Amino acid sequence: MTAAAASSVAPGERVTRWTVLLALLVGMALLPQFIVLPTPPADAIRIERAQFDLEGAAPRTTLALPHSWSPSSPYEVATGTYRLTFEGEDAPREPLLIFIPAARHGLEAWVNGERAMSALDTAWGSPASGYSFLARIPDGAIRPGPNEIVLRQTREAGWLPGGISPVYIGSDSAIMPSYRLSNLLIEQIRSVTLALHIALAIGIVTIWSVRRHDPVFRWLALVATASLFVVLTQSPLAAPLGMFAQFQSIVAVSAVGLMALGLALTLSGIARPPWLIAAIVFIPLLLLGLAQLGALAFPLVGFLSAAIALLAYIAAATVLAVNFVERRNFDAAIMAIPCALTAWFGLHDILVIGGLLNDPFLLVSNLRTAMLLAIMFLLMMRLARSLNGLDTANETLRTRLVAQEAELNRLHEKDRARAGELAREQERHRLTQDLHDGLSGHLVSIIALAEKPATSTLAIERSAREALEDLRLVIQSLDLGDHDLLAALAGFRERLIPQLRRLHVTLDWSTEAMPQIGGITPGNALTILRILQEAVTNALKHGPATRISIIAAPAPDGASIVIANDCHMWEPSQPGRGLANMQRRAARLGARVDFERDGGTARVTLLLPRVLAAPDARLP
Amino acid sequence: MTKDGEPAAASSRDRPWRVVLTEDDPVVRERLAQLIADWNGADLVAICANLAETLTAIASHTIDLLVTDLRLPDGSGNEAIRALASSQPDAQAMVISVLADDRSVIESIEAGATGYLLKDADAVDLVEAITDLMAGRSPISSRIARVLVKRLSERGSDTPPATDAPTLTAREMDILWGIAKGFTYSELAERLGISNQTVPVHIRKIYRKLQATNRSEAVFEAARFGLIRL
Repeated sequence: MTAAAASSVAPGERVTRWTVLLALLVGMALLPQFIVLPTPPADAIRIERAQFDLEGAAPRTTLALPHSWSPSSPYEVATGTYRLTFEGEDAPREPLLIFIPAARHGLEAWVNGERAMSALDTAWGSPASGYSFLARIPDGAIRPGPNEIVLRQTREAGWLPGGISPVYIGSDSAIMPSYRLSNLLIEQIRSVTLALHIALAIGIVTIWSVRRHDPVFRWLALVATASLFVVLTQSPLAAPLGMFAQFQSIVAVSAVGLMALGLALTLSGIARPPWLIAAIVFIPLLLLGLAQLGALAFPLVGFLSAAIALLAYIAAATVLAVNFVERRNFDAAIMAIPCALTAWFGLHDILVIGGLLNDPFLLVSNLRTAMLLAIMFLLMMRLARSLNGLDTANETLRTRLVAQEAELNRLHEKDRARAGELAREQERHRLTQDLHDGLSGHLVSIIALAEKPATSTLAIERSAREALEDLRLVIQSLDLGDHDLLAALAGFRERLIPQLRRLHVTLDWSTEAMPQIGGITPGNALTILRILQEAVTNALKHGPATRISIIAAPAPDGASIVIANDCHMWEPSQPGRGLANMQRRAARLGARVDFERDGGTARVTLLLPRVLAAPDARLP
Repeated sequence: MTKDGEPAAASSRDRPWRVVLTEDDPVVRERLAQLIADWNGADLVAICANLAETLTAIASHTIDLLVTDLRLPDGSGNEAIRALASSQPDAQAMVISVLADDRSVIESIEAGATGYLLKDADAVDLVEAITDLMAGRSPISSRIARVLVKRLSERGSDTPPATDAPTLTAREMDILWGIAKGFTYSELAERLGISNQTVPVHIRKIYRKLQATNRSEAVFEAARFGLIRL
C-alpha cells in the first residue's frame, strides 16, 4: 500500500480499527478465564480437602484443593504426598475411577494401600504443563466407611510448582465424558498442532526455497522451523537429551520471539534493523553459554529468554496492529492477534512459573495452534491474491492482445489496401504507357493512312495487324512473373510464326539453351519482346529478309539473343533509328544491343544481364 | 471416320468438310465466310450470327466442323460446342478468338473444342488450322499449357488418384510441360524422340481427356480424379 493510501485512512476509521482489534485481543486473552474444564456430575464424589506433606520439609498439614506446592530449591527432584479420605459405599456396583481435572507433574495413586493404575500418558501429555489425571481403583479396594487415597506427586525436572485440583471419585459413566473432553483440550490438540506445525514448516520451507527473494517467506520459514525445533526438544522425542534439551528449548524461545518481530516488520514493509539477525543468533548462544558455564542460574536464563521473547512479541504485535490500522493491511491484523496473545499468555506463564500466579496450566504452548493457523491463513491469502492477480493479469493481457491484434489487422488491412492500390496504380500506369507506346501509335497511323486518298489498303492492313500484335504483346506481358522469360519468348514465337508465314519468311528459332534470367517483370518482359519485334520489323523492312533466325544462348554475364537475317549487300551497315530505339530500351534493363553486318547477314545481338535492372521510370 | 472418331485427312475424302460458321460481327463473319468459301476443302453449311441460329444449324445438319466465336449476343459459343459434342460427337469444334486468350480458350477446350483460330487469321492460317484440326492435330500455346500445368498442380496435389479415371500418359505430361516451358514442337520432338507431327496429335489426346461432358470445370474435375499428377 502506498503512503498516499495510508494517509487517506480517516481518524474515525483508525479509532474503529483500534477498537475492533483490541476488543478481539482482550476477548481472546480472557478466554482461559471463561473456559472451565468440565467437571463430573454430582453423582461423582468430589473431594476438596487433603492432607499434604512435602518430602523432607514441613510436617503434614490439612489444606483445601486446589493446591500447589513449591520446593525450596528449584530444579531438584521433589515429591509431595496428598492424603484424601472419602466414605465408601457398601458394595460398589461398578469399577470406580479417580479423576483429577487439573494436575501438574507426575502422579501415582493408591487406594487403601492398593495401587490404582493410571491411564497411560500419551506422548503429547507433558506433566509439567498440566494435564488431567485418571486412574482405575482396583476391584475390592474400596471398603464401606472411610477410605484413604494417597497421591504421590513427583517433580522430576524443572522448577514449576506441583499441585492438584479437587479430586473426583466416580463410575465410568460419570467420569469418562469429562476426562475425554479435557484430554481433547489438553493433549489431543497438541498432537494435531504438532502435525500441523510440521506440515506447515515443510510447506513454508518449500515455498521459500523457490522464492528466496521474498522476505516474508524467509521469515516465515525461520519462525516455522525454529519454533518446530523448540517444540521437538520439548516433546517426548527429545527425552534422551534431558537437561540440555531443556536449556536449548528455553533459550531458543528468545530467538523465536525475535524472529516473530522480524516477520512482523517484514509483513509491515519495514526494513529490519541489522542487529535483529545478530540478536537472533547471539542472544540464545550467549544465554546458553552463560548457563552452561554456570555464570547464570538456569532459572534466570529461562526468565531472561522468556522476557526477551515477551518484549519481542509485544513489539511485533504493536508493529502489526499499527500497520493494520494505518495501512489497512489485514495480513498484519491476522498476525497481530497471535503475537499479542503470545505476549499476554507468556506473561501469564512466567507468573505461574515464578509462583506469583496459581494456575495449573501453562497456556502459551496452546497458542502455537493459533499462530500456525494465522500463518496458514496468511499463506492461503497470499496464494489466493497471487491467483487473482494472475487471473487479472491474464485477462488484461488477453484483452490487450486482442486489441493489439485488432490494431495490427487494421494496419495490415490498411497497408494491404495501400499496397494493392499502389500496385494497381503502377500497373495502370504501365498499361497506359504500353498501350500508348504501341497500340495508339499504330491506330493513329491507321487513321492517317485511311484519310490519305491514295493509300493502298495493304498499308492499312499492315498497320492494323501491327496494332493487334502489339496489343497481344501487352496483354501477354500482363501475367508474366519472375523466370517467365522463356514463356514470354514462346508467346512471341507463337505470334511471329503466322506473321512471317504470311510474308513467306522462314523462321529458325531456338531458346533451348537460354539460361535463367532474373528480374522479369511484365514491364521488363514487354521491353525485351519489343526489342525483338523491332529487330524483326527492321529485318523485314531493310533486309528484306527471307530467313530470320532467333537463337538464345548463354553469354559470359547472362544471356544473348541473336536475331540474324539475310540481307542485300547494298543495305546501309547502320540501321539508324531502329537500332537507337532498341539500344535505348535495352539500356533500361541493364542490357545491350549490338548490330553488325557480315557480308549478306545482318545480326542484332541482345545481351541480357543475369538479373534485369528494375527501371524506375519508363521511357516511351 | 477412323475408329478413334477422328476424321481422315481431307485429301483422302471424296467431299469437302461440312462447316458451320458462327460470328456475330458481320464484317468478320463475312471475311471468314469468304475465306472458307474460297477454299475448296470446306463447304459452308450454315453461317450464323448468334447462338440460336447455331443450335438450329447443328440440329438440322450433319456437320464436320463448327467454327464459332465465344461471345455471342444470346449466349456463349461454348453452349454450341457442348450441343455439338452431345449430338454429333464425331464433329470437331474450333473457337475464334482475337487474342487466343488462355482462359476463354481453356473453357472452350473443356466444353469440347479441339482447336482455336485467331480472328485476324488469313487464308493460309485458316486452311492450315482447319486441316490440322481435321487431321487430328490440335494447337496449344505455351500460355495455355502453362495455365493447364498451374491449375492442375494446384488442384491435383491434395486428391488421391481414382483408379478408374483416365490419366495423362507420361508422354502427354512431358509434352504439356515442355510447351509450358516454351519449347518448340521440333525441340520437343527431338527431345522425346518422336516426329514433329506427333506432338499436336498428343495435344488432341490431352484435350479429349480434359473435356468434361457438360461442364466448364473439366480441368478441376480431371485433377480431382487424379487424371493428371503434376
